[in-house]
Amino acid sequence: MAKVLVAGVYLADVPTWVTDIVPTLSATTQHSVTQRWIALWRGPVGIRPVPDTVLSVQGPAPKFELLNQVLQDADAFDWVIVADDDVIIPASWLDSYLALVDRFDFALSQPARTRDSFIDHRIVAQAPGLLARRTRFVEIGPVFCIRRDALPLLVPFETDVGMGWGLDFIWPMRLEKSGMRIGIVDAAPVAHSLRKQVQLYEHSEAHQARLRLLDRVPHLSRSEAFRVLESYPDA
Amino acid sequence: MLEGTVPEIAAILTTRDRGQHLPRVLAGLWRQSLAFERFEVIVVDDGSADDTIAVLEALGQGLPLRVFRQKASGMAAARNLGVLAARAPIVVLMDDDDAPDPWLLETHLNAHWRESDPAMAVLGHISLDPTIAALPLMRHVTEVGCQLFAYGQFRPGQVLDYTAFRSEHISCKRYLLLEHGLFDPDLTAGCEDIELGWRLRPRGLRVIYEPTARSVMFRAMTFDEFCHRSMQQGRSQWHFHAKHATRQVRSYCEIDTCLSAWEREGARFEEVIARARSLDETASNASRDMPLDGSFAAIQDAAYREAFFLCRAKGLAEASR
Repeated sequence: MAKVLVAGVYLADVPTWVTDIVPTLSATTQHSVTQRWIALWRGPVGIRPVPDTVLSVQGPAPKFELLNQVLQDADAFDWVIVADDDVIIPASWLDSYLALVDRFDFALSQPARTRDSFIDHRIVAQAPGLLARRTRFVEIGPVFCIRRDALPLLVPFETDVGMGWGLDFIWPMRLEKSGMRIGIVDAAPVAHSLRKQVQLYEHSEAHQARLRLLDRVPHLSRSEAFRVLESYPDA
Repeated sequence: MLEGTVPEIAAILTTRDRGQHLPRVLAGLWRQSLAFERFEVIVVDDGSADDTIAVLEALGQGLPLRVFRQKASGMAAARNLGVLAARAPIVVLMDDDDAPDPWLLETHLNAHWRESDPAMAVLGHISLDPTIAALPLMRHVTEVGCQLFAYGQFRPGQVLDYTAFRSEHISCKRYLLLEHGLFDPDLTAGCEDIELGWRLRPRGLRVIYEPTARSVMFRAMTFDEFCHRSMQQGRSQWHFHAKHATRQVRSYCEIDTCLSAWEREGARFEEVIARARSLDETASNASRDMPLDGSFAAIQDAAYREAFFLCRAKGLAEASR
């Protein structure tokens, strides 16, 4: 039985699926799950009875800095799953997902996105006929998963990255240098269909933060990152 | 660095259960004019149940070739996997029954060097192997009815529209597909290439016909195979139109023509197919022994044309229900 930490930020005063996500992830029979959710209010901080809310803040606030606050003891867990509040996670997802990332030895991974999802980078779309793909890209959301031995390379997240744009082009270089594998799991997808990316924060601000980050940190180009290195066919 | 020199061009070969044909395709890749470090071959096996993997292991040794596998999911999904697996900035999509000419990859590469337009695609030319070119059906579908190839309508260097984005022999920048559109895996019956071409139109897609980029189709199709292909084409055209319900797509797919033809002629379907099949058998046997006269060929062509059109109309009408 692995120890799993789920960390996420939810928007407290707009429609969200966090109330479905929390019980779905807790329903695992194979792992011990701890959840730490941060409520982000656009207006004054209020009360919202979402279980496992450990922090309430008034936004806008940089997501990855907030996450750092609840990941300080992340190395006490075997897996850390970072989740947004606008995904549909199927029942029993956690058990099947972790079985696959363990089987394919992914230190950093994410579920593929169902094809009805909002998708910016086409490589994350669910590929039919595959269990998983070893890739050079794992997007910064809406869900990603870090194995304990990869935590020192990724966490705490850089504090000046705002919404995290650009991290996904840095992470693969760091992990590859350490001989770690990253991948996308097609057989345990999630739907990212509640709201389109960049609806509730400033695109230009996030873009500028990305440029600053990539200017100073070695990273892959988009063509280098959007690569499948191996495919693992469904039986 | 994890990987060595980045190749300049990738041949993406998608295949299923064509182990017996792959030696000839691989032989063509072995003979490419480009040095091996300048290209790569990505083979995506779409769930073959035959000896495809064994053939690739035996004959791919020494080629800059990597094999990716997926459970049978269709050519659109396979091509997407191939594009995502490629390292090279230019990708050439190929069929598994076409043998590439030795200069194929170099010709595509040069065409992209000549024009750096990121939205330019290069349509190569497929001719029939002499062993199958004289077969009545193959002659009809490539020269008369042009249901399979219509190269005779194009001029070298001609700029064509999205309908020429034909995945059996086309190249483009990998970047174009990564950033602006991959194939729709839901279109499993076909038409996924033209549908992608349609989506790439707003990105400025231009397809340039380059007849010196050549490959040779060496697998003859039977009459029943072509009927099946035509029905699949009708189905896929309906799905293409359902996804992009515009007047242009409706017209290209001949939705109204097919639906009304099926309503009018559907009752005659079996009779039309039986007659065309019988003529095909007569013509095939005769072409082996002695040439048939021109009037028979004209009757034959009319029968093929009607049969394949009605098959397409049937597929489309069934999909529309």
